[in-house]
Amino acid sequence: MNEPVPLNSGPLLQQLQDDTSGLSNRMLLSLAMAGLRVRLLRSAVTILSVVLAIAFLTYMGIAGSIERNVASSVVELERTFASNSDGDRNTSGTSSVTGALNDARVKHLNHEQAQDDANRMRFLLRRNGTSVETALSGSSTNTWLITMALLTCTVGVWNAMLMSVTERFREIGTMKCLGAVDSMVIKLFLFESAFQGLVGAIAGVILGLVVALTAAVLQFERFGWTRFPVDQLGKVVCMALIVGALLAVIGAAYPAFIAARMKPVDALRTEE
Amino acid sequence: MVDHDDTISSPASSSNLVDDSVDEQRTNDPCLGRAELVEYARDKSVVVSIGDVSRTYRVGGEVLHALNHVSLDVYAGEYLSIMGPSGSGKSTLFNMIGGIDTPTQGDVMIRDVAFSKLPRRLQARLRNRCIGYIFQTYNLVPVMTASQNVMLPMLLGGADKKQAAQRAAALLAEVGLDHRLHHRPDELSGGQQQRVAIARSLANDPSIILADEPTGNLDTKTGEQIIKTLSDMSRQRGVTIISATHDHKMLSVSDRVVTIRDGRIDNIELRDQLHIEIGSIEDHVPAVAESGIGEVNHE
Repeated sequence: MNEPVPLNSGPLLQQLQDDTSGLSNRMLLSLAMAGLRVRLLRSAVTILSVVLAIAFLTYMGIAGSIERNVASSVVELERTFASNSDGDRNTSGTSSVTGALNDARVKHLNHEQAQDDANRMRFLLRRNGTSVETALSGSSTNTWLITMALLTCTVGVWNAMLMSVTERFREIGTMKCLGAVDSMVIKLFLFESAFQGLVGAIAGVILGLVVALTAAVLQFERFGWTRFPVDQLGKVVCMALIVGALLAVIGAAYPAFIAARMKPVDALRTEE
Repeated sequence: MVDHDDTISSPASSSNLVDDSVDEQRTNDPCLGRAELVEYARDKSVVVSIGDVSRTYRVGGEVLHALNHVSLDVYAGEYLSIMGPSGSGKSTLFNMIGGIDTPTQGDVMIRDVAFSKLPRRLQARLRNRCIGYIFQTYNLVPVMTASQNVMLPMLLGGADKKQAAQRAAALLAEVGLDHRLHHRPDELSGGQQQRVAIARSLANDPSIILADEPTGNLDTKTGEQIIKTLSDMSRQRGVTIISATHDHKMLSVSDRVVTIRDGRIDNIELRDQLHIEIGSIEDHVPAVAESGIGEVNHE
């Protein structure tokens, strides 16, 4: 029998080693995006699980901050109310007459206003089943409930990602037969899941903010607006986006890794 | 296990096959030294060399010998059909050649490269550059159009998108689908999907095309057209075709037909012999089809 000889000139192994061209990341990204676009409904379901988880997280973050802000406003108002009463007596003598009169009028108005506000907020907090002290202490009794809810969301996201990868094993097998390297398969799914995670997180943040704000206005009336934690907003949004993308990527990473390491014959054998 | 009254079922074959020495297996080769096969191989270069390949599966407590010390050379430019009933090891052998599966023992050499010894990265590159695959179930990527499916191997190989699109259009026109470039697989008939698969398999000008029962899911007429397209296009390009089949229409275009039974090569026939024996094969097949899976050993 003949010995195997190279068909083309030069040994095949050398040719394979020398040839380093492959799919560019940009092309891979456009493949991933095209896949998501075509599988719009399927990816929407996956994204929805992220949306809900992140909306929940954002809502908890914002709603908690609003409640704390309202409570600390009460404390602050009552403190300034007390100090202003002292200040009235101490400072009125040193100011000019007209200035003092104006100041006194404004302060008097502010006094009444502040007192009303403080009382109103106290009442609203009580109506919502909490108090200034509990809201400020931050040790909410339902912390474990929130944790459990978040864990459930996490598992939900992972399950959605797992399904979206495993139902494409066959496609992965085909791709590998066509010459896809392991890293390409992993990257494809990470791109897809990161994108899904980010889109889901953005939508989730918006949904969470809307719900938190609506709830705050319903619960704390105009104080829901005025005590809105603008300083916290950036932090909460950033955290939600990162958590959303991470949830999706971590959820997809393991099945994608398994799929990429699979022998094509096993990947092809899976039912569609 | 069902015993056949053929030459390869020796008493030893049911128990300790894995331990059998290579030499013994070689002498059991029914085709070794047959004059017409030696003549056929003359002046031909070997593209794929299957060297004493075995593949065992462990199913529960049982060891299943899907392939038993199979050796076979495939020559450049030939159209080779692998015949055999389901469970004969035909698909396993086929997957070994395509590097889709790895042998338990032995090596499959593609030209001068042992597939299973390559790093995974190079395996992928080899599949991409040298082998075109056609599957029974077409296996087009469902979310991509016909044109995108044909472009995929080229893009995976790092080709320019515009050039890949042009080449895909040309290939699809050649298989008669120039009016279906932007249709997705679910908008195409089975025959059309398989045509797309043929175009895809030729995308990177491979030297080998592996067709796993390409007509298995098609009606007779469409199957015939597919076979014609496949053989025409491969002959134009001098591509080696290896096809697993139990479709007799595929035999008439084959240069050589290898019959696998119970995980071994049962017979090798050349095309001119086939014309004489084709009737007998057809009579033969239904009986063989019931013989079930290859060798089952209890551990």
